[in-house]
Amino acid sequence: MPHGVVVEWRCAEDETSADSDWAVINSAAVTFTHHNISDSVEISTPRRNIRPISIELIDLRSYRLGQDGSLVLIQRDGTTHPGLAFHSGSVLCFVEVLLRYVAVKKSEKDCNLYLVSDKKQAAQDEELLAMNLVPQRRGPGGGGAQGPSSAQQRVWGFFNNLKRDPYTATTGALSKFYDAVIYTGMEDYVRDAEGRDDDVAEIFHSLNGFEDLEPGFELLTKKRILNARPEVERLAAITHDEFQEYVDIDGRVLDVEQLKQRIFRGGIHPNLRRELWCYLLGHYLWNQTYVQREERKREHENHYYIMKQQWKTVTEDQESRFSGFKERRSLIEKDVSRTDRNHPFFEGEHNPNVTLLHDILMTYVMYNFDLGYVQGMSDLLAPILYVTQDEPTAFWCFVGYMDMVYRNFDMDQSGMKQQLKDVHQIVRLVDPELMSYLEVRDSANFYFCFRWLLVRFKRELNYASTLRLWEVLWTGYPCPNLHLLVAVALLDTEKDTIMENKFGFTEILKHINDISLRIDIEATLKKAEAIYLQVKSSPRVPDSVRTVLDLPPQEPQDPHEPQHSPSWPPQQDDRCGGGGDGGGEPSSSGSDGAVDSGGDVVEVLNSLGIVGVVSNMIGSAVRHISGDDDMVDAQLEVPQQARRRGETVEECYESALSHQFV
Amino acid sequence: MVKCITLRWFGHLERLAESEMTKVVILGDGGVGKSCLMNRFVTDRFDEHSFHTIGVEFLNKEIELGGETYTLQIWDTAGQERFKSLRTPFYRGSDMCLLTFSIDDPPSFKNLEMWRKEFVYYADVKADFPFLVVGNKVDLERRVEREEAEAWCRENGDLPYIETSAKIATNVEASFMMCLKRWANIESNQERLTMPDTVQLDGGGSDRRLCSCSS
Repeated sequence: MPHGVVVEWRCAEDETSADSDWAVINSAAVTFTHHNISDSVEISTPRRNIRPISIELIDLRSYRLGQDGSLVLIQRDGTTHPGLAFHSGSVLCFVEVLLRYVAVKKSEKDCNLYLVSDKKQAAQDEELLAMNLVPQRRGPGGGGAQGPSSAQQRVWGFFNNLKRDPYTATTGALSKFYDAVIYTGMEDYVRDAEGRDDDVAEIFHSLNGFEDLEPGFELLTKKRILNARPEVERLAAITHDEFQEYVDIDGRVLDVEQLKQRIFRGGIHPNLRRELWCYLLGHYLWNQTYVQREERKREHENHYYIMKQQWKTVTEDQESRFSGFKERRSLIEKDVSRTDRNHPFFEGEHNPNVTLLHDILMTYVMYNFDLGYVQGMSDLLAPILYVTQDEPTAFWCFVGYMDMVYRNFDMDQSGMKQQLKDVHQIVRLVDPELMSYLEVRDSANFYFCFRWLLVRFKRELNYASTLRLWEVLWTGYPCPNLHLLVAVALLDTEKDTIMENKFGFTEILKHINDISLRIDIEATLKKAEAIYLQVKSSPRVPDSVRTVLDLPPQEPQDPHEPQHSPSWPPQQDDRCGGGGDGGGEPSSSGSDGAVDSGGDVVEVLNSLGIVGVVSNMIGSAVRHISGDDDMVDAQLEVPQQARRRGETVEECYESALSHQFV
Repeated sequence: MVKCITLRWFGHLERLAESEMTKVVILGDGGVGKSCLMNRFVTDRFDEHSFHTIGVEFLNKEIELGGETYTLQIWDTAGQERFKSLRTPFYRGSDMCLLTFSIDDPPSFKNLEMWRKEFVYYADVKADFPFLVVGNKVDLERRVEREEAEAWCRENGDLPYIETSAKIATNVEASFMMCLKRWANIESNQERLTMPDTVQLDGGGSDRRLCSCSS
């Protein structure tokens, strides 16, 4: 790849001051004027205030073309730049220029993703293809991979990859093996305990010739344990008129569960938000009349101002002997001045709404001194204040929100760790391929989801989307942990970018941080619900995931029998809707029948010595080909990890979290 | 609005194929300006109302020292005590550490001790680790005297001290350069210690925490 080629972008208006601007961005700036080629393609972009982009071509890993002709550049270190909108068709001119310098390969999995590769490597690939040695997937010839020599081709393919990227090829293959063992093993065990030995033999046999290890992850995708993901529809937001149908003449809200389902399905129209948020967050009670509601509001208001007076009257002298209070106050002051200050509601010097943020958080400290103030709370409060636009109302709605998410702010962070574990459990079930990938790259701690979960995606979304997501989450439909499914849905969306770019832990972290403000919330909500329905409809879901998604425990039944009718999505004629969701199921957990970890299968394999054989076999191949001694430790660690995972996921997780990430 | 996207060719600007990746961690109380220092250094921008950091973030920056190009990978973490258990795993493998306080915030200065201890414990590093103490926000009214800060640095293993302002771009690049130089010195000292005619049984080089940039 050529050195010294730079892709750069900046606002045309900056052109006059460009050189000085450029000079501070890149230390190589002094030589800026010495370029001898410059190809330009004109583009327009709707977004303001994008920082100038400059990427050494050598750092460009891939780019993604949007349906609308936009282009997103992704660097090797995971940096993902804002989309650039080209004039119609001119994106092709850009690509044309780019192709003079690098070879570009279209991703097999994601048709909008293009991977930049070394021209030398691309030429080599072509040669190999011409020699008909590298297996083609569904090539134009058709059925090529099914031919009699396909096993040999796969062996070649595996070694070809081994040569190019020994660590990935090996650990990838090994972890695929493990997941296949664990998941197919679990399935078979449930179906037919006697047939187990045959299956183990089959797996062993297939590994013997490296069949199914290359290309891709076919061993896994062949045997799915989940049903297909259904299509999901969403509606427009509920309007004021529609809401009135739920309210009786005295102001009581009827059919609360149905209303919540309606809100889940479409969100709330902006001019109705203020009122309905008060209900969803417990400031108003659904069954109270207008009169009772006003009474409750007055009481809440008084209560608020009493607590506000408490901290307002703490003197400086008192504070000098009240360090816990002083610390909380100081942190709140620092944080409100950097919370959403680019939003019109909070922008500008001496903005009274910033003072309100401060006062409400200080009052919350008096309301719940033990929890106090933790970073992230100001992010949860700001949108509530924006919607309610009233100090005591915002406070009590905030109290209601905190009652839902206070575990996010545990002193020992156990609430956050639990959620990261829960995401891990779900991904392991719904996307074993991604899970294997993340495990191999030391990313199975899901740390990159931390910000998503701590402030419920608030930093990732613009205001309109944040408000929409939150009101949907507050309904508790289709299950209380929908936010975890939103995380899984987002990872599903980013999966191809992460895997095709071969991102490791730091790159994933950077990429995930960078996609902030570029998330389509309606599509994500659809996908999250679809994943829920997919898991719910599937017969063999481990109890660990059932607990997270509030599904009834698995019954020891014949898997071929039809499942009992699901309560989500609700039937049209069922007024109460998912009423059966919250429990009431006979807890016939059947702990003797259900296998939720697959540990048995791994044990069986261990006793047969299969794990050792395979890892040694591949290990020596790696040592031989790469000549790299460090590689040995790295790949030998994988079986141990997998074995641990087979036994206690939690222990494994804890240790992963307490170790380094990089 | 018309913008330009350009591919430019810098004929003579051959970049080293492999630059050394060094890991820098910025620590200090919430609100002392850790993210702002990082952003000023890497992009030379300052946003008065930038968000407080949640979780961890990092940026890469290439920097030249003595004819060699280094890639600094700068890690920025959330400063509140509560997030300690999710922050400390990132300390491992660090090459340098910026201990940061704000000169208008005496408690943040007092907490330097706590930050240093936390880092040494979790990063598992030696006493001669290249720390740099940074007093940020010199554009504001001073409430921590320079002498006080320098005295603390002397008592804690003669740590170098620098005062900066991310806002008005004072000494920011200089502080990272200072840190890098100190690290490079320690590295070269260690190299001198490992004599060329010594047989090393562990097969590795020195205890350098380096990885080559995968370019």
